[in-house]
Amino acid sequence: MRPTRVRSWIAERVPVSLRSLEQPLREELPVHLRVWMGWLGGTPLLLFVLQVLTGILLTFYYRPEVTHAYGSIRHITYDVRFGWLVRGIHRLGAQLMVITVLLHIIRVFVTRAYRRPRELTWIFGAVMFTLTLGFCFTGYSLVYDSLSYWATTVGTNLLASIPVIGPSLLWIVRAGPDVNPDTLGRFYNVHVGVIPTVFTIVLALHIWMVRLHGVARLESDPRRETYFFFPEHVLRETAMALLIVLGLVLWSMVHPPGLGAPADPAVTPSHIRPEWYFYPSYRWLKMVPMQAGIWTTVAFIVGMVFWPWIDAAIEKRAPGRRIGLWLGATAFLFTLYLLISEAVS
Amino acid sequence: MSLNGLKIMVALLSLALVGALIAAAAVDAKRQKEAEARANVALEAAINPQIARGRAVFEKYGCNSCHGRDGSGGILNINAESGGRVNDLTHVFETYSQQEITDRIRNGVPEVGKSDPTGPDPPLRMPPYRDLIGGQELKDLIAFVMHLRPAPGSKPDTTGW
Repeated sequence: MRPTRVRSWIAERVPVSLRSLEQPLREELPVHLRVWMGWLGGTPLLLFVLQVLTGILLTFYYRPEVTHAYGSIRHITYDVRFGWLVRGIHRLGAQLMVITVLLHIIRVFVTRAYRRPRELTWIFGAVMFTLTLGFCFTGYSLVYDSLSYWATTVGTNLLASIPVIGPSLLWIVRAGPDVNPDTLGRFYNVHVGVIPTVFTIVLALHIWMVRLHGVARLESDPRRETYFFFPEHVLRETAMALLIVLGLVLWSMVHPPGLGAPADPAVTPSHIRPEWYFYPSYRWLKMVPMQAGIWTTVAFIVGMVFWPWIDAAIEKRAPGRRIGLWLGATAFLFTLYLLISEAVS
Repeated sequence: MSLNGLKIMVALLSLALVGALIAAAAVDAKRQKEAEARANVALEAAINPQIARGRAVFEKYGCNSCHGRDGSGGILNINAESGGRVNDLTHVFETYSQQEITDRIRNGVPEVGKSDPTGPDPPLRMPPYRDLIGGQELKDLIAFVMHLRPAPGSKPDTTGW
């Protein structure tokens, strides 16, 4: 079949003009996105795709049963060809995803790109951040070594402290009053099925919103110049993506993933601690009474989700004083303090 | 950065990634060998527990630190007649009797032959293990050493151990 006939065959069945496909590529972006922080918008997306790909490879060998989970992780790490690399990229990619989502949130926060009419874009972003933490928590529990088992136990225990619905919520999450064989299956399904599906939907909505409204201009930047999404921004995002994949491969080579002792419900390790991205809330819960800690954490999350409206209300009462920015900076520094103080404790 | 600068950066990063993946393949090949060795040890323990116990004795008393992992090749021993290295043990089964090996382990090798008679004495000598290894441990160690075989394609060792 000649090329023209191929084209007409496709055009007949997929009646979409190539010009309409080109249009999004010609989108004009404000020049402040040329700074490296501006390249981070696409990075969580890249990492999510990378997590999905490496996650699919891991599911080929992982067995979500209490009797086989630990053994299958050991098999992946030490026997399967490139298993250590795939697991290394998956493990580190998850942590990097938390960091890049946070950096993206910080950039949007500082530039106040969440303001009307972009509130929904922000909300979808905040939901994705929460889902990313959900990914990490459920993923870590699947390793089923001693530390991950007890981190899961301690982490889910917190749910019981929520008034009224806490005990029921705990039962739903654990499939029983304690961490039991069904908990692992439940976490596995949530990790590979529920969260990725919800995340994909929210991500699609987030990108759709960004495309509808375009990238917000900086208040403080008087420049009106723009540059095209393609090829310049695509090249910048590609460079960032390559740099990240390169870093993940090199890091996995230098620090290949290991494995602790198998989980033993009868033996509690001397030093149980969640992964580093939960340090701030973990530290906070140790500093204040449990109920106060949980409610302030919930208030923090709700405040983050609805920040565009809170900031607008503050701005209305005290225009031009940038109280919102100071509040955010204080919250950020305090979170950083909690993280560091837990890390060095 | 200009568009051309970005293109060059992407090209360089792509090359670096290809290089990193090639290096990762080398790391993986090494890990596969280790995995194979672990599988062999597990198989060996399942088939013949005495050899598995002998390997544990071999590692417990640090024999592997001079004779190499699996006795397959020793560390540097300058001017030793065995090619300037501590002997590998993979040909012991065809050159020594059980009694000779027992004597070697118990008495050690106080004097190592020189490759160059006018050169210096080889610094490493095998110490006597008479007071350390005995009874069942000695039997297990001998069984382990006698079961060692050269890797396919390796040259025969004609220098004794």
